[in-house]
Amino acid sequence: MSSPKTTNVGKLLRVLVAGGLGLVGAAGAARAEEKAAAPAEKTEKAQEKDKAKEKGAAEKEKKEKKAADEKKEAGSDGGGVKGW
Amino acid sequence: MSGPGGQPAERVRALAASAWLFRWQVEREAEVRFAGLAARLEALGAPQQLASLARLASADERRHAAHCARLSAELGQPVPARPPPAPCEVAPSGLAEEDAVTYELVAACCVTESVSVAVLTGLLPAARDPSLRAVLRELAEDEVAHARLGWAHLGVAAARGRTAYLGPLLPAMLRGSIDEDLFRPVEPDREDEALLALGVLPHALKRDLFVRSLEEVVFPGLEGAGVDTAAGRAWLEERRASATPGTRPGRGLERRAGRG
Repeated sequence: MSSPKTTNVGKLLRVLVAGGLGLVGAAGAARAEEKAAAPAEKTEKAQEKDKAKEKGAAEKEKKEKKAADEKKEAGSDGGGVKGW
Repeated sequence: MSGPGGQPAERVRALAASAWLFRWQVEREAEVRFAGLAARLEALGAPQQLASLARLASADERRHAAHCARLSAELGQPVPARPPPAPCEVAPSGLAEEDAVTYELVAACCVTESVSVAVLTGLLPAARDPSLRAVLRELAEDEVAHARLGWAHLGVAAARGRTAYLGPLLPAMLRGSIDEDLFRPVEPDREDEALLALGVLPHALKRDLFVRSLEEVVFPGLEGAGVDTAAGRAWLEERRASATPGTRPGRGLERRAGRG
């Protein structure tokens, strides 16, 4: 039998998940789906424009990736965030 | 192990001071982490509400750090003048940016902030000092919002079918979220219930809350978002099996809670 205190902790935490998952709601999910579908809807012209833009930014991106990779090196297998 | 006049013994106060000092560090790191996540969410075109929540969380953490610094100083351990170094990214290398952000939010919010809510909720009934109670209550309210940010983002990632990769990564994520000795026996002072009055959980109670939070909230929540938690559950079971013989982590909370 759980005490009122343990029940409250469990209840509160379950509210977190339900509340969080519902927070963005259908609008957020729909937007995310739209975003996922967007590349398929792009015109050829838009794709060419994107390509040119990507080429111009390639060097910058490469540098940033290298820096990010170096930063991540210590935790390359993944890690966690310490809390209370 | 209380001192004369019911005051906590010096050793207990020193342990509590260390805990609040560590929390100051955790909160300062969280401030930087959430600010970075807000920018990364915006860059990814995530729902604006999520980026706004991350930015708010960053401001909250700065305020929390000030509370932790004050309490640490009051217990005899002032925090350093300089902030701690910026936290490292915790996502494994090789993930796409979108997935790395999801990993980071799951680690920071779905796991760590959810467990923090449980810790704060567990501390509140024992804290009698009005100032400490006010701090714990303020932090608990904020941490609820921070945890929800992670669960909200995970819901969006699930809608995009981008959560399954998290399953095999759970053991590393969970291992990194705890102190190395959480499942080991510790010195008796760290089990002193006088710590509760200073806003710190005795070691076994902290472990019980961690286990229960995973089993009752984090794992079911992740499963609801399409993450296979088998590896995470196996990791937890191994830790439990390696804990002190004769104890059963996850059961102690009910014993203590029964004592009010």
